Amino acid sequence: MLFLNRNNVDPSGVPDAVWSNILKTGQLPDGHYNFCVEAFEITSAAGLISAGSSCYEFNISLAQAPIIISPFDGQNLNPQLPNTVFSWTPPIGNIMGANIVYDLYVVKIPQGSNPNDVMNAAVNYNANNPVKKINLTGNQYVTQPYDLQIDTNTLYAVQVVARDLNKQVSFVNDGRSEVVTFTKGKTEIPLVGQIKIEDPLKNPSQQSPGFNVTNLDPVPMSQLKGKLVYSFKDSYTSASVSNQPILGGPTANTNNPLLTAGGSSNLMILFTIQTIRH
Amino acid sequence: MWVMSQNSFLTSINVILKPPYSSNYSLYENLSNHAIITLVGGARPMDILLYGTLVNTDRDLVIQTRSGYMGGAFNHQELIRPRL
Repeated sequence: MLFLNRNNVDPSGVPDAVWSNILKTGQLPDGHYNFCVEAFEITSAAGLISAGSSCYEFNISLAQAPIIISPFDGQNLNPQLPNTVFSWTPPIGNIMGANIVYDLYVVKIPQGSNPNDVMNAAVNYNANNPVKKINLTGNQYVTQPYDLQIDTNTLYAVQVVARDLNKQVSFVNDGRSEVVTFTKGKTEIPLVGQIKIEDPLKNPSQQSPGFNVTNLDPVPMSQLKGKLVYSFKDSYTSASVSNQPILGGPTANTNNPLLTAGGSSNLMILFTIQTIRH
Repeated sequence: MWVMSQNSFLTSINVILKPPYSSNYSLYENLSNHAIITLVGGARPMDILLYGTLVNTDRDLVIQTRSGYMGGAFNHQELIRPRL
């Protein structure tokens, strides 16, 4: 297709930076494309005469960059475990014909530094002495004793970069995953929002109106005293028991019809609870 | 594939991009590997010249054959597959 050879085209519709990148990498930007071909008949008298044209639409999409699964962002790893496990997802997209390898970068984050900036410097310039593992074929790497040690109480950033050795597949963000930070051991990341739990038994916050729990044992048990008003349907005779324990007992008033009267099944009880405080 | 007809001009021209043209179809050179351009018609000898336009409609990028390009011309009466 010589008519679209880089030496025979007019890239005036393409910004210089984009065109330079196309020539440099040999890759077109992603997006929706419309490819048209027009045929001309070459005549000696009239020059070029259009003989027809046709178009075809297609998409160029880039494969997604890997996503780091472990550690997750902000994770505090167990310092007792000697090895650190890094794992990530494979690129999502049509990667047929590709030979994908991964580069793993782990770098310390100096206090006050932006993890993305530090990681960019590590990937591009090997700055800050990163743990660098290149051409990994699997989706996981477990640190080995000969690797640089992951220090405790230190903030680290990790990034995975996917590459296609066959140069058939391009990736979003040049194959770079999101930067994930983690620590090993004590975390210095402040908790967002703290829940203060108080023992309500030791320090009751407020008294409920009209009700007071006097027993603070683990198995609540309350004693109530009150005024019981009752009447019988037949005689409509009413009586009352005041300041007596509800369950009576040996000291209950013997005039209490609940204990002395028998035979009446239609008992209407009006019971008013009076709270007491020990 | 070349089909001859009685018209002096081409009766149709068709362009097809063979899969894979999505996702991993990202190399500029791959475009030529997967494009099939079919010209139909032309009874008399004709010298044919092809021009192309590639438009990225998302980014409004246009790459087209430069004006005055005369390379790649072929004559279908030769009945040989031209070098596009």
